[in-house]
Amino acid sequence: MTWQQQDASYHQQSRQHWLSVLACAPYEQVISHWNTLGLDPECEVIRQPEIGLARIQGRVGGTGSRFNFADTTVTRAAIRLADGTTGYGYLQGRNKHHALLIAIADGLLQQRDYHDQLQAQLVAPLASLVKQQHEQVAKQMASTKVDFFTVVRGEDE
Amino acid sequence: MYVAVKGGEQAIQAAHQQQAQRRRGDLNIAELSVTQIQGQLSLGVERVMTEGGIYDQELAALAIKQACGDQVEAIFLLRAYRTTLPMLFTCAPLNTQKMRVQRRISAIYKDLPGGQQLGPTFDYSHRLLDFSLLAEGLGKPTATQEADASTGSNTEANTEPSLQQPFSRVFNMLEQQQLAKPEVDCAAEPADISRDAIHFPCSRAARMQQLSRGDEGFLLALAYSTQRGYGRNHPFAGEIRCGEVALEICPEELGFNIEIGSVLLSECEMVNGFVQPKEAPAHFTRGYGLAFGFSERKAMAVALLDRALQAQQYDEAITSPAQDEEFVLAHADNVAAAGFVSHLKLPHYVDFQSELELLRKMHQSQHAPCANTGYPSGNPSGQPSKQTVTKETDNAKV
Amino acid sequence: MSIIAPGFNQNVEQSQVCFRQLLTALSEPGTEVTLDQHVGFSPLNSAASQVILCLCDQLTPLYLSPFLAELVPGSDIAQAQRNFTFHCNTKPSSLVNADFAVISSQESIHFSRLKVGTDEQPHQSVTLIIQTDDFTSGPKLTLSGPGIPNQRTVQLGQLHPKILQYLLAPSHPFPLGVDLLFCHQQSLIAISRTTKVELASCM
Repeated sequence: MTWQQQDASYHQQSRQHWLSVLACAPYEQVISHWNTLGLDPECEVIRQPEIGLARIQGRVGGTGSRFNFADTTVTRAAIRLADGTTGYGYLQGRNKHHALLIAIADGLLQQRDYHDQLQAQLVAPLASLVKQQHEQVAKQMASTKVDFFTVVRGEDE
Repeated sequence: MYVAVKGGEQAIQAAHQQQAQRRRGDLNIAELSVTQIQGQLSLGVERVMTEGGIYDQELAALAIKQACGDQVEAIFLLRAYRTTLPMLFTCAPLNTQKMRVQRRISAIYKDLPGGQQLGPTFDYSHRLLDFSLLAEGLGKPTATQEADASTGSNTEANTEPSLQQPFSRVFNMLEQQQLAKPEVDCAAEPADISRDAIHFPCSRAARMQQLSRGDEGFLLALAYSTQRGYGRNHPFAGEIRCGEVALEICPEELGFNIEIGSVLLSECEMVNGFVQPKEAPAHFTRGYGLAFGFSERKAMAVALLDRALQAQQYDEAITSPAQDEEFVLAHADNVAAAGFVSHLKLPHYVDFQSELELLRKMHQSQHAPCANTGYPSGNPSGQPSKQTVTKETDNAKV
Repeated sequence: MSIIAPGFNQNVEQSQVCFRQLLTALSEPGTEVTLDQHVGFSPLNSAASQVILCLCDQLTPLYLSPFLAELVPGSDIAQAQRNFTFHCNTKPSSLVNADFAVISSQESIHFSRLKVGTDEQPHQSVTLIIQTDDFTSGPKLTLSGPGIPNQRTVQLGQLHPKILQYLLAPSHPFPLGVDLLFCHQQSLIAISRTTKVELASCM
């Protein structure tokens, strides 16, 4: 039994997480974290980075029937490592190098020898960075929250 | 009828060169970068993305730069680019419930779970020109920068976790009290008007897509007309929210969903005048609008028109332009509209020649005495004949 | 485990090169063109594979005849389908619903069941890619029609009688019909629905 098969659902969740984090983190951050790892695995590009569209669908009323709202640009790539592991990269936007980098990282993250190192030095710091950025925006926006109680005049109510 | 006209290549080349120079402007002034447009003219970029139909800030900013700021031209550029790309994925439907809300207001409940949060807005400003923006680059901080700085320090103080209270949907509350009918997923595959031309009557999905891509000015004016009495539907801004919504795709080779990024959206839900069906309790009707970025004026206009175009469904008399599906949807697209209006600039030499001939013949028969001047010398027989003339010419065209 | 082979190295550029060749082939029916941008996904030959890589996308239902795999030992038609799905997002389809179909020149095929378009939308017909053994054997065919000055003579390899019959007497009235792309290794000859085909043997 291989390492990947030990817990398929855990593995899928974990892979879902790293693919999402690597796609959502800013490219500059991904590349600078990647560079510190000093990895340059041999791999074959089986899908050259390709720019295309992904359809964005909304739902009327937020919950109802779907409608085609617009599209977004996306880039995808796929590689195969020397041992046959396939790595995939998908992200919003048109950064081909970013897509390729995700694909390579995805390949390595599926390998026992590299998994822990990449999780610790690439995925985890990027995940906390993304989270931090979201929190930062939320915090800034929270300063615009209206506090109606400050304008209530007791006797009028 | 069009006749191929050749020539003018050099003139066209020179005209394009002139346009390029006009775009660049005074060479002594630094050139505007796409990054600057993207970062500092964000609302313009967001409109171009919404109506151009692609969420890509850099491309929209580039289009604006190339079009010298002409939004309709920029939208056209983006639409044209869109046709060159393969459609690789369909994202999971936007889950606006999980929006990372930046702005959320409701005009129907003052206190609602999550509260009112203004986010960035022009509302409540006095619309006075801010001359301090003219002084930019002179080394002293502008009023806006100072404002930013002070907001920043405010934020530091407001860091309690209670701020993270989720923004519940206003319509959820109305639905729970049976005051509004929930929007239910009919599970049908939605129409795609960018592939299959729209036919009338059309599905709500086709309508929403066309409205989303529609010209903001046109839709805004029509929405306004409903408020002024042309198809009144008694709207309240139930909820407006702006924020980031994650995009997920499910690549076939993986077989599971992954997040690939997010889009900044404005969503508007209008609460409209109620109906009293026999089989259900009286309830409010509703309209929905969506736009990229902080484009709530567009989202509101779409929501008003989404409701106005449900007139038939509620057995309302269709008396106004805003309720007429074909009128609204067939004329909402500014790329189509600009194209057809612009085509009048194409050579119509032969068409016009035939009209001229027709008119001259009529002059000869009607005003035989003064025909040699080449111009009509007034119409002593009165106005009505002029009406007939116009009509005949129109028929002749057909 | 499914093995995905690489597609075009330079998708845009190589697709354009193929497109240019296909344009020549279809606008000058009977002209042999070379497609040399990809080795192909077995059992499809190089030219047939490139037609699909170049022209197909998520909206083109694709049929690959299982008969092709019987002619190439060790090949797997499902594997080829997976590769096209991977690279072009094509969806596998039945022959009846296909917009693009790849078959062998040796196989019997019911042309009456294929998509041939409608009078309003004649382009909504199938493009039939026929893999053949060579362009030097088989009946000599004389082609005439749009894109052909006077006439052109071609050989398309050994053809199943049904295919030959359709070439000589298409069962669909113009503008309906099927466009045929004959592929051998890296070579392709197109017979468009506007082309009149006659047997040249009596010459």
